[in-house]
Amino acid sequence: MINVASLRPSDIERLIEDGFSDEDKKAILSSLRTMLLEVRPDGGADSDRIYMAAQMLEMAGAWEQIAVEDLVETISGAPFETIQVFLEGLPHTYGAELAFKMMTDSSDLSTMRIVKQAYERQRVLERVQELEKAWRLTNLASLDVSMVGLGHNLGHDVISGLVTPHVPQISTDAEGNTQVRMVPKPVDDPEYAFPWITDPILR
Amino acid sequence: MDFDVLYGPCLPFARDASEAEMGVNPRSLEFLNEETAPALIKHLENAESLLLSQVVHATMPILWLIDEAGQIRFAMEEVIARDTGYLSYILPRNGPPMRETDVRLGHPALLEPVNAGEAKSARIGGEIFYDPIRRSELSWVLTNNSGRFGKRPHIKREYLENAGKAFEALGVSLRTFFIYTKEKQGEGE
Repeated sequence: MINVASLRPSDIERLIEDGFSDEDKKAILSSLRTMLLEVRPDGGADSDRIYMAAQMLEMAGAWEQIAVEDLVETISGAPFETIQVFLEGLPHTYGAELAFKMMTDSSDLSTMRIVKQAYERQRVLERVQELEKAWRLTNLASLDVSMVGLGHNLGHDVISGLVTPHVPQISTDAEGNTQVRMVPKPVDDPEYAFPWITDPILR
Repeated sequence: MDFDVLYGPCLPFARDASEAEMGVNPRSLEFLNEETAPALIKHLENAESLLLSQVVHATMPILWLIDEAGQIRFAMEEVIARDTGYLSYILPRNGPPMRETDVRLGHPALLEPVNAGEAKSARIGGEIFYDPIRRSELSWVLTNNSGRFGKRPHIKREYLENAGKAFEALGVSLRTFFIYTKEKQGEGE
């Protein structure tokens, strides 16, 4: 029986070779829920555990087998920080769909924060652009509604997060050590601008 | 010997590290060499001959990494008290929730402590895990299961295989398991 909290190389090899049974999917979702409720992201080893579980399951092909709707149900109720780390370990498009589904299913603040974080990735931004029409017609409208009561600054921050992806900046210090840090990509970069957002406040 | 070619360039960890991981070494930290290798071999072989050891090893991985000098380091994944820094216990992979007052030491803790704002760098890292399978005589597996040092975009399968050969050169026989990102249309890293 697979347990996501103690995934073994032989589990992954078996799933790749034999495929996923219904029992495997149930075991993955059930043990994943337990793990996400119990393991607290610490910015270190425990965060890494959550991230690597998502990555190893990706390698096994789990996210091609498990519907986004089922995963939404599984992770609902887990702390925001935990879901954030888990989303980082998912394939970008699948993670975007998961965040998209969570946002359309909920309008609470924590869900909006998750979406903001997830959408900072370039891949996810591309996904948003693919969903431009649905986004404009439904989610942007619901975002406006959701921002009522959050205050303009927070609402603007959410939107800024959507249009300001981070990119790696590599530099070398005086001793020749390589340093990598993530910096915001300039918001006036036309590559990342959303031409369909014409409201100057939202841009 | 060009360690960059064998094990990959020595780069800062990906993602984050906790404050404890930046400032404390695990008590069990060792360097693999001619003195420690025979003891490590005995430790691993116990799983084959003693059920007591088998149960322990099947639940607790050993962390490893290769540092800038090409040295292999290994340690248990220790949990320490945040306030004193003393070893509390070794938490099994599927253990219960930890106390707020404890913190787990992952891969960055295998390197020397640094000051705030400084980075820790290694070539590759992962876990050594007891995972016997029918088609291999080797019950222990060397993986790159580390989001900080093992599963980084530049890490190649050959770096892990070369790490396996470095263990083998000192008599520690392990099979390798490389964790990679699946290439799919529209999903490339």
